[in-house]
Amino acid sequence: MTKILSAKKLSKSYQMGEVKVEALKEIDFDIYDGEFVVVLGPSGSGKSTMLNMIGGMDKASGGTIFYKEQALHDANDAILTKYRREAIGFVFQFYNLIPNLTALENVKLATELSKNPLDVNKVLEDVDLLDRANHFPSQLSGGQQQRVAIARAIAKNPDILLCDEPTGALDFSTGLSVLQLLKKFNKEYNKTVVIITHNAGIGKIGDRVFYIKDGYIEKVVENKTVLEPEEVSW
Amino acid sequence: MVMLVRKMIRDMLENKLAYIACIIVMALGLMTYSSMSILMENLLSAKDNFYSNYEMADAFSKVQSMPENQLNTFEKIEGIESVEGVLKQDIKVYKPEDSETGYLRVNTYDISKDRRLNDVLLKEGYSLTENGRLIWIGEKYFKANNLKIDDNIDLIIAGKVQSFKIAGYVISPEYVYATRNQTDIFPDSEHFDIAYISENLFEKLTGQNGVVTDVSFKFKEGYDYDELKPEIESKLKNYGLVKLVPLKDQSSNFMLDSELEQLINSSKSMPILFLGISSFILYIMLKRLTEMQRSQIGILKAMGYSSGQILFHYLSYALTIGLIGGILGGILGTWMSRYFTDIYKTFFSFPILMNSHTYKYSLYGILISLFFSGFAGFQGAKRILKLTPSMAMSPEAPKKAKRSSLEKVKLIWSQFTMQGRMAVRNISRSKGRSAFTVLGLMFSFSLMVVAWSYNDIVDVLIFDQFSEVKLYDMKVSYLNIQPSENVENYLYNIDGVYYVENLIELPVQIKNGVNEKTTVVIGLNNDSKMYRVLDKDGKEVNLKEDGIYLSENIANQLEVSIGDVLRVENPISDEFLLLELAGIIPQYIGSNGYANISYLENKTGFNNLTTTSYLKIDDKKQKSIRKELDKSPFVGVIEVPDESKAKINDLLDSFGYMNYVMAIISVIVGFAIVYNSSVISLSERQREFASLRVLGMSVKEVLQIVTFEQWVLGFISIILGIPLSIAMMEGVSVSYQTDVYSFPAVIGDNAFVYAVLGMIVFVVLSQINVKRKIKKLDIVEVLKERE
Repeated sequence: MTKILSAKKLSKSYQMGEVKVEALKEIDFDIYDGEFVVVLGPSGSGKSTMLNMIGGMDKASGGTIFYKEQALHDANDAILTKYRREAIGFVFQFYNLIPNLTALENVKLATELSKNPLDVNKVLEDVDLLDRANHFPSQLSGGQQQRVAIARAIAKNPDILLCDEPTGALDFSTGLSVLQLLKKFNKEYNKTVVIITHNAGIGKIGDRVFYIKDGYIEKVVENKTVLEPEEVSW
Repeated sequence: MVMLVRKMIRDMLENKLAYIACIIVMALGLMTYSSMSILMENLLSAKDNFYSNYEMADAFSKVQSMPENQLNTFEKIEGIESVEGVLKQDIKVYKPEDSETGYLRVNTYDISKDRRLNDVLLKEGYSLTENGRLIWIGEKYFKANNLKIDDNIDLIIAGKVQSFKIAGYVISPEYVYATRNQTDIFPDSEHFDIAYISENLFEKLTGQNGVVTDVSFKFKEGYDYDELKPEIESKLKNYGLVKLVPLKDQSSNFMLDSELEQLINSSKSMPILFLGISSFILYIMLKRLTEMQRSQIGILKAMGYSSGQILFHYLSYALTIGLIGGILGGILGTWMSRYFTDIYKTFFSFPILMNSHTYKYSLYGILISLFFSGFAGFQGAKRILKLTPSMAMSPEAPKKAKRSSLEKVKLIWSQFTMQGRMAVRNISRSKGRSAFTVLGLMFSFSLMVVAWSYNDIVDVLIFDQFSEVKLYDMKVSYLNIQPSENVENYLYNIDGVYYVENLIELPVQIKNGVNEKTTVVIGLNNDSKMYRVLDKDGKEVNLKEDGIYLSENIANQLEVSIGDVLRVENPISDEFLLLELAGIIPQYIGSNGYANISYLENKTGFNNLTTTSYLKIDDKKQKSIRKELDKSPFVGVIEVPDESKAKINDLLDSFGYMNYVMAIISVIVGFAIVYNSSVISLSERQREFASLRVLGMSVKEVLQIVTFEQWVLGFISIILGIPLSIAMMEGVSVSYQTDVYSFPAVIGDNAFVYAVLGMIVFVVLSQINVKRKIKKLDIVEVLKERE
């Protein structure tokens, strides 16, 4: 498999008042094209910071990170914007839909940026929301909103889908359907998916699991048997 | 970017009242800008065309009498292109049935000439001829009195009634704004205008053969008034020079220029005021919007929208407001300019005063409003550029909660309810928003004070003149200087005249270095019962015998102060006089000098002479007195203050709506500000209010927090608004000052009371809205949402 992301001695620290907080401490990792990666760790372990680095949302304090040939650690705003626009699709715990746009419009908001977007209606059909396309977020349930968010991330046709606690705000069965969708996207479109979660159960559906603690990658485990979402519980 | 446009439209519709208020304020600004600018352009082009086509002169003079054959001596002066001399006289119109005398300023018209300076445009009718008693009448008088061509008109010339046939009606560049004297602010077309009679005929009737009284000069290119003045002046002095003025000081042109200047001022200051307010509102709205939509900005950035695209998205809110406001203001302004031009047509006489439909200013207006709104929007939204997507996605750190300084005063603090304490802390925590609300309220408070002071200003400006200053029933001006005793004997012999007071009205030219001013010095008796000179506080000034007094306006223009010695020239004495400035008098209409009559007599050496008399009369006999005076060969103009007052009153009634317009604007501004700040505060604090509701507080109790805040801020705004109102009034007064009138900086008796009531209305209205919103608050939903 081709390496799509590669980080060496990647670190990130924040100044909080007089205290320097080291959120990531010189971590190394590689992520491959078409892989399904789960980043597992308790809250405050640095996993969201890692997602920010991978997603080009923030700049590293040290080390390197490459997307294919493109260095992200010293990239300027324009390069990072282009990277997020073309390579990354985000799914957040709290959906983060634009309240004043309908489901369909939220998806179109993303496709308007993309050079080769997927068919918006097809994507909405994939997430089983075609009949709700013209509803505003406030008229949708949490699970439906998260599916719109996934549709919005997928429709841009990015290389990597980054999901920050995508099931965090959902009940079990809704969460399950969300994971199934992510899995489907990974398989059918052969896209890389990175899920960040504190739920150990979810780890079993990934090809590899990064255990992260106190800003370090404690271990990376390759799942010999990758389970389907419906086979796990959390 | 289509989706972002939809988002913008829906965001704006969600808060439409606030945006509409903003659009209205912006549109008002641009309406004044485009209407005033169009009007100004119309007037300016009408003036330029009229002046150049009808050869308006460059300098104008009045002499007591000069032989016509001396005119060519002026043409020999290097730099003078042509000279025109006419005989000019204010002639009474004989209309026995009318209570008020009408006057025509009759000019002689040399029918043998092809070209004349200050030529006449015959709008309808036929030429004057040598034979037949023909007259041309000013268009406004002709129309105001419903005259027809070939009608007869009777004039009293040299004490005799003379009948003329009206050959046509005319206008002249010299009388675009035709008033009888400097103290008349508005033309009174029913009773005064110009007229032209052939030179030979008029000379014959007046017995002034071969004589002119008014000489005007056209300069060759490259020469100006200051250069040529000394030579012209020295020659004119031989014929009793009354006044020599350049075109800019010629009375009609001066009024026209003042009006144009006023328009230029208004077309600049008013839009800046309105655009400033609306930009301020926009700035705050955008700032709040970007704060509230912080996580949406984050998601847009995460998706790959660049900071520039997002900034433009938020700027588009402001630009949309600017564009709609600009278009609306442009259309309204263009439409209003037609209405304004029509009003101006009633005052100014031009061959063509077009209601031109230029949309040029609408376009400029749109550009200006886009600039203002874009600037305000950028200032409000620029923080987007600094936010990294990861920062934007995480909630903003809560503001530091600190004890407010009021808490140190335990005695007061302990009196507050929990809601009161929360309100006070919130005010001190959200300093920016509190300051915005206070600033906005202060501003609308002051605007209301200014608006409600209008009537009192008018009272001071005009009516005090009649009730406090001009105490006479009738003023009689003579054609020439008269011996006081003769005049008194004559007047006391008229039945119904109770009391006569003589005075001198001396036309003078006052100089101080390069500054020069033509005015009339009124020489009054020390114990004058008919005319009171008042100081700033309305107290009577005792005119001392050691100097002259000048109106504030003239003193400012001459740049003189009390104690300065002024060089004063007058037509009576050949020598100039050196007079000390003894005092400065506030005078709101007209600009005069004042002096004690004995001081003036002393200085001029002319004793017991008079030019004017003030009369106290039996009201019932006014008509017969007037008739008697009309017969006199030496009586020139008769003025009855009551009539002038009534006329001004009528005219002001039609402009009275202005204070309502201002009051409405201030209400819109005030409401927009209070409403916006309460809506912003509400959306920022939804969670806080929802939590309080969950804790068991009623809607009313939650509302108390907001209302307490608003009343406190309202109270502070009123206190701070008082000095601001006074400053604003001073500003208005300064910006509206012209030579003809100055605007008193007076605050109306009830203006503060009305303004406070207005503030109460805003706060109550916005509280009704907040209450409605708190009631509608979905507690569960709000608390579920991530911060």
